[in-house]
Amino acid sequence: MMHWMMLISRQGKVRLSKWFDASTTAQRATIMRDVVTLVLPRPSVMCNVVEWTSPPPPPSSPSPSGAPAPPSSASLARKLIYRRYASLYFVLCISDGDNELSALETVHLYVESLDKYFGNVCELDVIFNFDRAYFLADELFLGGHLQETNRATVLRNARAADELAERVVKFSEKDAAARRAAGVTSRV
Amino acid sequence: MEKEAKKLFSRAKDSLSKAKRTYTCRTLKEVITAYRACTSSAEERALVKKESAHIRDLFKEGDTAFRRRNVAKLLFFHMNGYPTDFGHMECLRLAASPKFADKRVGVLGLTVLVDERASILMLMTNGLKADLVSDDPAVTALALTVLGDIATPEMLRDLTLELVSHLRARSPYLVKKAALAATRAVRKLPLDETLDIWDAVPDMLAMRSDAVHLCANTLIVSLVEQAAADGGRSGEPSPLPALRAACLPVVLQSLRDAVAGGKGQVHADADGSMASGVRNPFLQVQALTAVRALGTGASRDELCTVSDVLVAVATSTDASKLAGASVLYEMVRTALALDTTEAVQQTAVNTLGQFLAHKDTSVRYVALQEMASVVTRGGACAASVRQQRATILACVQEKDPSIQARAVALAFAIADRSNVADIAGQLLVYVRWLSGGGGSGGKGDADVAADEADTPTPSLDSSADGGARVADAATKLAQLAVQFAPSSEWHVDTLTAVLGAVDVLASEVVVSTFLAFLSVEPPAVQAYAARTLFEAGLARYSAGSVATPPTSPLQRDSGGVSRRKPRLERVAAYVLGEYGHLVVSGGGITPTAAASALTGVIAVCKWVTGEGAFEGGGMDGASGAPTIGDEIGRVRSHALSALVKLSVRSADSDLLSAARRATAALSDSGDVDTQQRAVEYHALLEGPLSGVALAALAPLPPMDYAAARQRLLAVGSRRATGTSMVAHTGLVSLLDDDFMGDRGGAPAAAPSAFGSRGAVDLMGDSSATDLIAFDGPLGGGTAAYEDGQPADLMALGQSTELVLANQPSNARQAAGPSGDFASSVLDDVLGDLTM
Repeated sequence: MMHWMMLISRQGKVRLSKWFDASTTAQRATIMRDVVTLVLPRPSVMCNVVEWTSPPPPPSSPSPSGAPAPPSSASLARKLIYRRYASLYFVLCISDGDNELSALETVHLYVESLDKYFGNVCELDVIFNFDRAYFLADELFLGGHLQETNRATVLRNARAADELAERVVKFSEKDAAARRAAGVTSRV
Repeated sequence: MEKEAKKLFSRAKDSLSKAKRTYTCRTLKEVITAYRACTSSAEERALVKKESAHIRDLFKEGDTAFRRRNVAKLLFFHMNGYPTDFGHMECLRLAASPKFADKRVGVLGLTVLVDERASILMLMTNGLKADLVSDDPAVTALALTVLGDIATPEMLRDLTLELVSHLRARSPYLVKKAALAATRAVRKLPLDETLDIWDAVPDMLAMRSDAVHLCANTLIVSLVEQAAADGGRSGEPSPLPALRAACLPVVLQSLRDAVAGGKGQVHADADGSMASGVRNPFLQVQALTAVRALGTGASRDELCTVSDVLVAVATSTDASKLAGASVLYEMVRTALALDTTEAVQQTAVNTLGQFLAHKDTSVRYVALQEMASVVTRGGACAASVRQQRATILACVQEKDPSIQARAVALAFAIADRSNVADIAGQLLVYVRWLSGGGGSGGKGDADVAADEADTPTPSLDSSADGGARVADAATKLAQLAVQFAPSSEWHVDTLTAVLGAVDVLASEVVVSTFLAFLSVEPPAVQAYAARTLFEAGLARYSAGSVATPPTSPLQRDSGGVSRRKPRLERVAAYVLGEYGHLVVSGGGITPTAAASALTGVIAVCKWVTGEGAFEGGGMDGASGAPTIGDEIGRVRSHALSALVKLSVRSADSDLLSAARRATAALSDSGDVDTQQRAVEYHALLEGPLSGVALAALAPLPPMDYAAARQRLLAVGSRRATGTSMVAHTGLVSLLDDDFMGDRGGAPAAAPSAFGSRGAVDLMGDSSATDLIAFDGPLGGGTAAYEDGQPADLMALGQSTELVLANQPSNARQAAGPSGDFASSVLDDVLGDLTM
């Protein structure tokens, strides 16, 4: 499975990060630093796979049921799969036994979806609309797995949700304005 | 009245300030723009602090109009590494809001800011339950996202019922999300609490939707993992056989359909699921993974069907694009993991061979990785990997170090007696390249000095990592030679080349095994080795290229060390001393050449030792590692010993006079050890050759090659040892080890049987002593000499009587218990000498 996904600019700034594993803020910061030093300096002749060892996960909250320990704690050997698109690096972290090539294709699928969604996407789109990039990622991935491979379906679902949110927003703004007006008049 | 007016005023003031704060709430875009406009990180921090304080105030007031916007801002701050804990509760409130827009942002905030360890998640269990049965699929989808991304095991347990109901829903949109949320539940919960999920899988596979199939395959993989982890502990009968019977045929059918071009599948638009001419590679990959999971432990018949489908995948997938390659790669892994037919496995290995020539580096990378695991597993497939030797060796030339390292590891792994020459040849090229252009052994010191200024030291300059890789590769090459050498001469050639390429980075065990190997070989091979090593390491000193010893310190720096190969020279000197008489008398090397080469080496070394010229230079790293100066000093010791041994054994007058000159010259050396050694030798060579001199310098008994071989081959299994750069002890201490085993001074202690035998030999027949053996104790006593009387030592060089009078006591004083042994031997030798 995918453990996290990150979009990093060429300067090492994180533009988007999606985590599917439990981890503390400090650990996330360490990982981001690791990734910046491991991935960014690689020249383009090198392959898009980097072997990497993840820091151990934080102790999970004690579960009264005695549920089996998450398998992620057993093996921390990970692979970083990255691809560079213009000034943005897309980095995925997958388990050791996963299909590296398929992960590369997954990156591409996400980028294509972003491109279609924003219409010729650029880094600024992701910076200013990172929430939308997250929503799109949520239509594509769930729990670290790919849920939809059809770009058109992903876009349709994302746009439908956007529309739904827009509609309610307009209504609620009117509503809020009305309420505020009412509140003000009552006070005076 | 006044009171009322005051109240009214304060209320108006309150609401004004509130309104001000509320209406000045900046949008997300404004905040991001302001953040990007910051010129320093201090400015950024100040901005975030101010904005965070504002947001916190609004949260406290219970503001609803800007909650969404503020949570989005928090996400932005979180992404940039600022604390946002105070926003968790607000995310929870947003997620519980009836408005979809609020809910969406709230869920996003939760999935980004919070993880499963946060206790506040428990608060939303009831809200999730309501959402899961909502009429609006968009709301249900959000709830499933929360379940799949961050839900705790308790939440998953409480909501399993609702989750399972969605696994059988009509809309693929919800089924796929539910399947992945169920995957999380399966990973977090024990088997007996997820049996409903097991039952629902066949129903999911009955749906005609690629996305649902994809997610069902993912779920199947985690179910199989769960069953394996459970192993019958829960007391339930394993549901795995039933799942296999129900699902394997369907998954295989979907694979067949995908390969055949999508017949029988219903699609909204076929275009979106095609990637680079391969129909839905993601689905195929996931299906193949599921087949691998289900196929473990399947019946013969089922595996036959699997094999058929795998062949179909292999034959109709185009590997030239990454999408196709990813499918083929998964096919290969499934074919090799399962007990498939031989033809399929052969196809799989051939596919990997094609991958090695793929234009995409990542494909080559995975191919090498997979091949290495095939070789480790052994069997028929390993043999077919061997047939890909040429392609593998081509990958050794890769520009990408990680691919190169893998290719090298694989090349070592596939080596056997038949192909070792080919493989070792390629790997030598690699080792030379790695150590930065070694192998220019023919270069004289004169022109080296000229281009020295801009060329860094070849092997010593490489980073610690590079050094470790060089040492590792050198050790592996030595292992290949030991295991598979087609002939002894080839063994000698290879080791000479390795030493020439990596020199001081070659680990000690490589050198010691090589010397042990030579000691048990017949004289013809020993003579060959003496000749080969002489040409590689020493011949360049004989021609007179170093006729004029360097004068200025600068010149010495450049001419002396950088292109020197101290370890190769030391081995060459040792071998020449030990076996050189076989060559010098019979031809190959003329006595004059040998004499001038050894004298040349000694001359070049002369200025180095004892002056601290190279202390701390060159070999950085672990303390106790010898400096270049030490290395060079040892070269001189060995060259001197070699010259003396050679002259005594060959009884050649040229050599003898050269040896006398050298010992005399070094008798006033500034370096205590060297001086000591030179004085001793000089005493032995004084006058006509006595029997004692001959006996003292007689050939060494053969070493225990089998044990040394074992030690070398063991290095690979404990990986780290092979990479230690120059171990604390060099060749000298290694010899000490072998001949004075009871000293126990060196870490890699020689096998005790041999060590004691060597010692017994020495004790029983003191004449069989090699003077090199004295090096250890005397070396250990340097400190004692230094605060003792150096003037005395200078005087010692003058007469044999003085040596007799002072030497034993000095040695005793210097080296404690081990010195007793050495000095007793010395007593014997010197006692005989004066009689």
